[in-house]
Amino acid sequence: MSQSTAPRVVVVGAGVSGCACALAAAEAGVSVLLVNSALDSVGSPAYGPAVWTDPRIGELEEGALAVRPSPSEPLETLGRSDTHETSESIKMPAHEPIRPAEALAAAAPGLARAWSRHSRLPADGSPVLLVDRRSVSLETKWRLENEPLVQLRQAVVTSVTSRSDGTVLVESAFGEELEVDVVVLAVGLGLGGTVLVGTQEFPGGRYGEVAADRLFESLAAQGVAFREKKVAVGARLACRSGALDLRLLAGNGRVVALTLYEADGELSPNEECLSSGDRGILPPSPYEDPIRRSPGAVLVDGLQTDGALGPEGVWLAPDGIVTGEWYLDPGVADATTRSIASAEGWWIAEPRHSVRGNVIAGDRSGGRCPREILDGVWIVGQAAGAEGYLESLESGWRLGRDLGRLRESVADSAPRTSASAARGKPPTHDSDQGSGAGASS
Amino acid sequence: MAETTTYDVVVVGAGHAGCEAALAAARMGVRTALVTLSVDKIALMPCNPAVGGVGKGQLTREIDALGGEQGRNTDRAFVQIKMLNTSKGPAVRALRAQADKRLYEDWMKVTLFSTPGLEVIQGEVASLDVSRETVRGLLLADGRRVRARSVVLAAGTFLRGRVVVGQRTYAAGRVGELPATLLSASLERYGVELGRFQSATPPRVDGRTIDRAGMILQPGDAGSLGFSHWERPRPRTQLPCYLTHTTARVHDVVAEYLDLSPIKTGSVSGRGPRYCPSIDRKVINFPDRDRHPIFVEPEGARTHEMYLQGLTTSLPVFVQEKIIQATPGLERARLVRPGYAVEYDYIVPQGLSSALGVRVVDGLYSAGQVNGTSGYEEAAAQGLMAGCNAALYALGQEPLTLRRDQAYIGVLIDDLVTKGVDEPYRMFTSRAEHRLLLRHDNAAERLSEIGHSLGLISDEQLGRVHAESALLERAADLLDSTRLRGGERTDELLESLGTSRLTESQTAAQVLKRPQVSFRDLVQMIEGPAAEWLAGLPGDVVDRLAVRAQYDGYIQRQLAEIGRLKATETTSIPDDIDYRALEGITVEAKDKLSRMRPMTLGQASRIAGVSPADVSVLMLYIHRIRASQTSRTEGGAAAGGVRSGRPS
Repeated sequence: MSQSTAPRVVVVGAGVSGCACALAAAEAGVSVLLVNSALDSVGSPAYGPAVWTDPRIGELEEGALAVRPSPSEPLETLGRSDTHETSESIKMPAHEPIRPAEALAAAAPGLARAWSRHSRLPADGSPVLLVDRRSVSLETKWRLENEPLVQLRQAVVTSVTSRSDGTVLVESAFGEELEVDVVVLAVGLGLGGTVLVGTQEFPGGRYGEVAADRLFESLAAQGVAFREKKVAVGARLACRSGALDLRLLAGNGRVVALTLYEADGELSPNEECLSSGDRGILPPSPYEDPIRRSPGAVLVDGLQTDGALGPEGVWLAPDGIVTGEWYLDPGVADATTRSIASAEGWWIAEPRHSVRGNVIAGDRSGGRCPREILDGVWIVGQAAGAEGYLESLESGWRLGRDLGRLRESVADSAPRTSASAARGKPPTHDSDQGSGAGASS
Repeated sequence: MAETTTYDVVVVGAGHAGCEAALAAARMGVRTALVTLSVDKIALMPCNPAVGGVGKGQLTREIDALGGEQGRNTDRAFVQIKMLNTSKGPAVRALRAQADKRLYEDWMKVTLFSTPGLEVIQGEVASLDVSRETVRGLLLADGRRVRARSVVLAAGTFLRGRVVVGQRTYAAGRVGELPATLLSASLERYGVELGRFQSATPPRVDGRTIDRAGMILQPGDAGSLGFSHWERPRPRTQLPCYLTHTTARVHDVVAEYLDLSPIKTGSVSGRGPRYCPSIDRKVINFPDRDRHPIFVEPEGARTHEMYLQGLTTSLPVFVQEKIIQATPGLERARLVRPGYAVEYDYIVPQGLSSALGVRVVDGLYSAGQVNGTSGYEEAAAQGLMAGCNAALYALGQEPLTLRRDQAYIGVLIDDLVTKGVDEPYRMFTSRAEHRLLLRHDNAAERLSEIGHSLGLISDEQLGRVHAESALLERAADLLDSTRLRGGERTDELLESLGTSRLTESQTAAQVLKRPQVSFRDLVQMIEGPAAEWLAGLPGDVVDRLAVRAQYDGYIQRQLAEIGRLKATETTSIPDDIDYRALEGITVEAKDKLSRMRPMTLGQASRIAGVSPADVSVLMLYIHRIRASQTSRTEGGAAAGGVRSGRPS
């Protein structure tokens, strides 16, 4: 792309935190180039379909994901709110309060529009949003494509080099080069990532996707310190007769007790999910078939097997509502999984596995905050130490909002040399209503 | 996780070939597994967002007639559909659809996951499990073992795949996806010969940055066109394509940077497709042409990405951007995905039987791009055949092959296994010598009985095919027996259509032969209840009637020709024949025949390097052998397939 017209901010990685960052930045008026190794995998929640919502968020309204804070709670951030200085080379900006409800809806438009249901787990009654990951990905990509300030592009980024003149050079596997002011790394566990399945190990930040090995090397060569992190991903079962017919599961002779937790109120798809804007009548989609909608979560709490079964039982979370896919917690033993899958019409589609990658070293307790690891190079999401979907989302969203301020401070200072100094300062907070997040965009 | 699961058939790869193979086998009632590197990447369309076209559309139609899935799946997912070559003869008429890629994947995955007897499993194949030259199953890289009676390989472009742009390359089966690194070595270990090909794909641009004003709109056809014989497609708003052209300026850009093309630098070692050439290759091969067409095609209903057909390239990205900017209408187009080439191992198809079985390993089959073809339709056709044959093998039954006069699928497979490939093979109507018989409109008539005998077509579906054929026969008989006389009304109509009046009475069928007279026109010339009945015929029957009327003479001649050739086609060659001992055939022919060991004269005639003269010599030799054999036995009639000259 032409250097002169290209955005000056690149977000590397269009997963959970990357998409949130790009959307938040766009909302703050910042033009962003959002890059992913494969554009067909944009915006998908990485490890399973359960988005555990924070009880402080409040009631999920029936018929739409309009999450509003409960009136009695003060506005609060989703995560912890302390500022930390961990080492001289890694500084974190102070948190600023954002409305969690609006952040969730705006940062994850895919959730708001995807086919999903929610259940309440009996243990503590906290709401769980169970999403169809495929439609989250499709909706998120469509939203990004329609955002004028976000440019999506397919590329494998192989190096990010912070330069003394305050710019950052981004290079790709195909030899593309771009000079920008800010790079946001939202690469999940892709840095030197390895997928471990059974006896096999192969590179990847997620099962099936390439790893960011050369990018990892380029960062390490510039002195960035990492630590290893491993995430376990549960098995995915599939049920041929469709997600609704659990009787086969109940009747397989191994399962002795199972409970279906119906969704609390049905989430119908947002009208825009089915409409096309100016594209008229769309071709039919399997998601339109009401028969294919899944119930809520299923608890297998009695199993006749020598597979380990903890007191909590085994949760099956619907993972693909039109394909009858179910996700298991990674802690479930293989023998147990096989027992459940031995029901007629059920099988193990994706095996249990782990992903091991490199995330920023440093104080783990503050790990969810976005951090600047090199001049002009920020890191968000899992790669920054976030745990889980909401923390990743929040960290990306937060930085995206802050980029607006960073850009202003850069624009105000004329000589290049002071730009990096300006960048290093935490953004100033004017009275912030958290406005502009736009609850139901 | 060192578990073992057992199936009858295992298919490796969930692309277009793999999906057809897995569905066919499962629907034939055998326990089937489909192993894929990712259960979230099923039936991808990594290149053109389209199914069908000239030659290819016929393949998809035949797949549907046999009970395969591609036609039906496309009908669900298309954003545009049109019949090509409507102004030309019926032999080259074909459907072409633009598909919404994501919907195509969604529907195929749903179908796979809801088919009884089929399990879709994520994993990488580490090696084949072969003993005593028979396949026993697979070993997955994560330690799981899969036992099976037969295996279908449908690995696409993933075998030791590398993507290439300019001088840069990285290991991948497609951009962003890891390749299959282990299977090739296993194949080679068992004596399977591999070659290396490359295939490229063009860039995608943001549709909102295209200037459509200067381009020619290419809409779809109104009406309810669809590939499938069995389901009507639901109505939808069609999205148009746009046509522009390269210019001399674009070619100058390509020429300026041609040294950076992997074709020139040699960083691509495989051969590329001649009929889907990159823009680099077009500029090299056609230096005198000053414009090449570029079709700008939508990739889906809910994406702005557009595919640039005609700008296939693996030139460096900055050059791609210059090329795009220099193209009329694309001056401000923003590149979203760069074009790239993928290099991969393929199985040399001469090592396959007509059943798509790998000759050196019993029970092993191979289908799709991994056999050296290009295109989703070519892949799906092979997948369907290989899947059926893998199931038949598991059931202990004889394999299914289709003849060249029966189906394009027959032409495809025969070309592959007999002639081999120098470059990725693409189907054209010109490859089918019997194309007049292999038409879009008669696919079900030719093939649905076969599909039914396999269990892929239901009684009800076959019933519908028979009913339509019966209707067609009745209508044809009616046209043959209805005489038209000259009269004011009839003659006025004929003259207004630009043809001559009736000077003597003719049958309605004869009048319909006139190219200016359409079926509707003809019905107006007929009186009484016959006209009413004819007017009420369904559109498909009307189309077939018109084809029959206009081409009947040619069709009969072709059938007679086939009858004559059939004798030679099926004349079997003795297993122990020593070609070197034959006199009167060329050295090259001796060499090729010795290597290929064709089973029939028909196959021999299609080997490159074997001329008709060589075939004549061979035929005489076989007759002499047979004659001397029968003269040794007492009182026997002449044995063997001597030419009978009887039309089939």
